Amino acid sequence: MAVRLLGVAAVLAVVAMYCRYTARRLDRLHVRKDVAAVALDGQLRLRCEAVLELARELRGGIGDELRALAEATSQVSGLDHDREVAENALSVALTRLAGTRPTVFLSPSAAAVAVHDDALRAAIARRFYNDTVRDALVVRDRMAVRWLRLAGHAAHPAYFEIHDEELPTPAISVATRPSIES
Amino acid sequence: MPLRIGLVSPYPWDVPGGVVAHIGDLAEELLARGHHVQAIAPVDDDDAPLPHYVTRAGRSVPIPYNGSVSRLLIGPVSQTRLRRWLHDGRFDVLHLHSPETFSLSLLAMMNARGPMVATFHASAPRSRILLLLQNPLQLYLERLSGRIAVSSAARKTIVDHLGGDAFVVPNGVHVGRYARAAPIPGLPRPGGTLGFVGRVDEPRKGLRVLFDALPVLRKEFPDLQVLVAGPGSIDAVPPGVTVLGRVSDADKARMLASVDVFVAPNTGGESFGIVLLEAMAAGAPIVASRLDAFAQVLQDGRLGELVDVGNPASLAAGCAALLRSAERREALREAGRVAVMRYDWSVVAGEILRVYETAIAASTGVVEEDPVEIDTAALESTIGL
Repeated sequence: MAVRLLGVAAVLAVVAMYCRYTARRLDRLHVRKDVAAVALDGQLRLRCEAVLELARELRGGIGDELRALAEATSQVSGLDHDREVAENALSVALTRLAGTRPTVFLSPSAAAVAVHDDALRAAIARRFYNDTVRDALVVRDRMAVRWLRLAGHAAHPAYFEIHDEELPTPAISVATRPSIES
Repeated sequence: MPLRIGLVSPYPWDVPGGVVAHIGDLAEELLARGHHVQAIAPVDDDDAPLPHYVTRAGRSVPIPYNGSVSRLLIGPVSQTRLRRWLHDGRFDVLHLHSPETFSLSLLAMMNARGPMVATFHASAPRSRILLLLQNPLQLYLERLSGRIAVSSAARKTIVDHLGGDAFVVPNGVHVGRYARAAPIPGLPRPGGTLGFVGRVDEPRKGLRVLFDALPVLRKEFPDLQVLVAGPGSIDAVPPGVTVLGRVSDADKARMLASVDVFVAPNTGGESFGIVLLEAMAAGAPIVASRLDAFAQVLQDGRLGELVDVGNPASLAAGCAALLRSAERREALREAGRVAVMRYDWSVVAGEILRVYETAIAASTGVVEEDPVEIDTAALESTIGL
């Protein structure tokens, strides 16, 4: 009897250790995801502001369209589906601008350089954020984690999916680069 | 604002190789931009001269990996040196290279906390060891703020084997150094010259395929010559082939600027194809195997002739097509010179810096040593050293 009790106690101890360890790991993963979400949100905001600035110098319909899209995007907060739709529309419009008027980015104004830079940073931040979501989901989706509710009350992480625009990079003259030959 | 950046190399600094060259170039580019850069690497030769920014982590141990022998390092001495380096460096961001290998990079990933990014250089269609290690590695990969892949092939390897995603930042090349290289006196010559760069005794570099294509090419171009630059030894050198042995980067650039066609007959194991970029920068028209990585760099044939992998007849046909047409060669030279600017270190380092800044924004605190030290003896016995 005593042996059996000891056995049960040992199993319970192992389960408790697993729960404690996994709950802590999940907590770490959620914090990491939240910090990455703040970084992504901030970078998307910067991209939006940069697009507004660029829209002011663009003549014709595309300038008006970009301004309308950027203003609409700035009204949405959080990283939910509405934000995805708004940011995606902005990405698609930028891609179209790059296609129809590549000179905007090939011989860019300060505003176009800022859009290029912030769009690239937003793409990196999005990749990083989605990685943190994925890492958290891998642990959350384990059967034991779901049954034992080890994730607690932390919101279910969701990927942020938008089209990454590819804006042309202006050609750099080799001659004007600072030389770093040793 | 200047950043404090720590770079970790998995491979010995004193053994020439693509990853080490990449880390060195990146360090110099970042230093030139005014950042504080320190690197740590295994060093096999105690007397080897090192750049001022490199710290020795100890000697490396040879391990078979991904079809060739990798000289990696792991052990208590390197862990102590690594932790001291982490402590003294007070880095804003730590940049690991190939942390999926049993190496100093893996050890660094296990021993550090804070903003950390990793570059995955390898592309393996199906790596059993990576699949096997997916679960134990995941625990540590969770520490990374972000991952960089050097090509979409390398990114696919990450997605398939490790899960998660990576941002693609290609390898860099100092375009100016190659663009300014003067041709070797007497070249180009009327009979035509082909160029090859790479280890001559590494089958996957494909020198054999080029040799097998030569008899066919000789029928149309009897005076054709071949320049071969790269370390290693071969016993049978066909007539008309000059083996230069290991050459300096400057001489490699001159060689590339001298040939009519640069040939990359590789049969596999390439995740990027930096040598194609060097050829483009030097203005050499390219014939290359249709490997995923090569096809991407050459934009599916727009920037060079793609031929069947390991097929001498196809290689000969590709070379002949370029040797016949001076206009086609000139068109490829021009297109290559424009396209390669995207890979210049000025552009690539800018992207890597943006990755650093994003990683810092997406993490809390600075880089510090993890309070838990790794039991390296247990780790070594687990992987059967």
